[in-house]
Amino acid sequence: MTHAVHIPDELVAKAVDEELTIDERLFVERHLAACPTCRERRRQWAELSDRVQDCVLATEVSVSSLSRECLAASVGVEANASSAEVRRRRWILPRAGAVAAVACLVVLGSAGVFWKTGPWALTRTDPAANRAAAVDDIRWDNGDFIPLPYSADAVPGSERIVRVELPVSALAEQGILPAGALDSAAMYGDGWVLADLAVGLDGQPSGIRLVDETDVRN
Amino acid sequence: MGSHDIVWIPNAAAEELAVDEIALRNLVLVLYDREHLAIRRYLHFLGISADLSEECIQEAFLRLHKHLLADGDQTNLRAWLFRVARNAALNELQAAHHRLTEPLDTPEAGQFRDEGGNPEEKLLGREQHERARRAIEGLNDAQRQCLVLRAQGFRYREIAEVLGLSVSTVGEHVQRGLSKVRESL
Repeated sequence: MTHAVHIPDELVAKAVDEELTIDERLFVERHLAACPTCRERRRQWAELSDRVQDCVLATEVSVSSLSRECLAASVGVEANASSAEVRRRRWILPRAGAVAAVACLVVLGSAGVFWKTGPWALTRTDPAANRAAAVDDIRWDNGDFIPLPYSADAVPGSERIVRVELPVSALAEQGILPAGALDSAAMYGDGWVLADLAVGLDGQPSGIRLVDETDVRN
Repeated sequence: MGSHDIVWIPNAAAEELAVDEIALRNLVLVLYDREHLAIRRYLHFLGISADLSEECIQEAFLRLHKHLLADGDQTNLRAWLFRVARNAALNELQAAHHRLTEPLDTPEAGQFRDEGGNPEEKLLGREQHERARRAIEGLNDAQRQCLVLRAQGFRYREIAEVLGLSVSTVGEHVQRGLSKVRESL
C-alpha cells in the first residue's frame, strides 16, 4: 500500500520526542502501521535526534569546585540580604580570609591591642579548649569578637557566624607575631588559623574571633 | 551543614526557622550538584564564556535560594534555573555591550569527551562530534537552544517555559533545527 501524502516532518519529530497529542498519536500510529516510508523516516529521525543528543552531552564543560563552596557559604548567610546585595556578596566568602585578616590588623593596630592582653588572650591561652569546641557548641559571646571598622552593623546585630581560615603571614607582616603558641611551620610557612567571622545583616563581616591558632592546614 | 559555618540561633522560634532554612539550603546544593553542568553546557552553546557562565550559575542558584525562602513556586525548578541563568547571562552581555565573549569553538571548553574505545573509534567519534557540533552551532539561537535543552532531557513544555515561547513554537524550532542539522551532516 502506498501513500500519496506522508506525515509532515513536525509530526515525525514530535513522535520521536513523544510529544504528540492523543489525536496526533492516533493518526501517526495508524499511518505508520501502513506506511514503510514513514516508518523509515521516523527511524532516521530518531537516529538524528540521538546524534544531536550525544553531541550535546559529550561536550566537555567544567565548573570550578570553588563555585560550589562559594554557593554553600553564600546561601548560609544570605537569608536576610536584599537582592541587590547578592551580586556584591557573591565573592565575599572566598575572599573572606584576606578581607578579615586585613580588617583585623587595622583594628588591632589602631586600637593598640596586643596579642597577649587583648581580646585574643582568651583563645591564645587555651587553644586546645578552642579546638575541642564542636561547631554545635559555639555560643554567641560579644566579648570574643573584635568589631571590624568598616561594618555598619554592630556585632550584636549580626545573625550569622561563618568560620574561615586566615593566613598567619598576613598577621606577621603587620608585626603581630603570636609568641609561642603557634608552631614554627605556622609562623614561618604561612600557616592558617581558624577564626569566626560575624556576618552582619548587610552581608559584610562585622566582627572576628580567633578560634584555633594552631596551623589548621597542616 | 558544613563544618565551617554556623547558623546562629537566638531563640526557639528562630530555631524552627533555621531548620527550614537549612533544608532549603540543602535543596539548593542538591540541585546545584545535579544541574550545574547541564546549565553550563547550555550556556556554552549560547556562546557564553566560562567565567560569565560560572557567575550566572551562581546568580541563578542564589536567586533560587531566595525564591525558596520566599515560598516561591516549586514546580519545575529545573526550568526555572535554566531560565534565570540564561536571562542573567543575556543581561550581562547586554550590559557589557558585547556579544559572544567566547566563540563556541575555542579550546577552553566544548571539547569532545573521550569515553574509551580504540584509537580509530575515538578518531571517528571525535570527527562525528565535530561535524554535529558545527551543525548545531550553525543554527539560529532559538533552534539551537531548543535542541540543546531537548538533548538534556527537557520536554517541549519545559523548553517553552525556559525560553518564553509557546509549546507549538518549540515544536517548530526542534523540527526545523533537526532538519538543518541533517542537511549539514
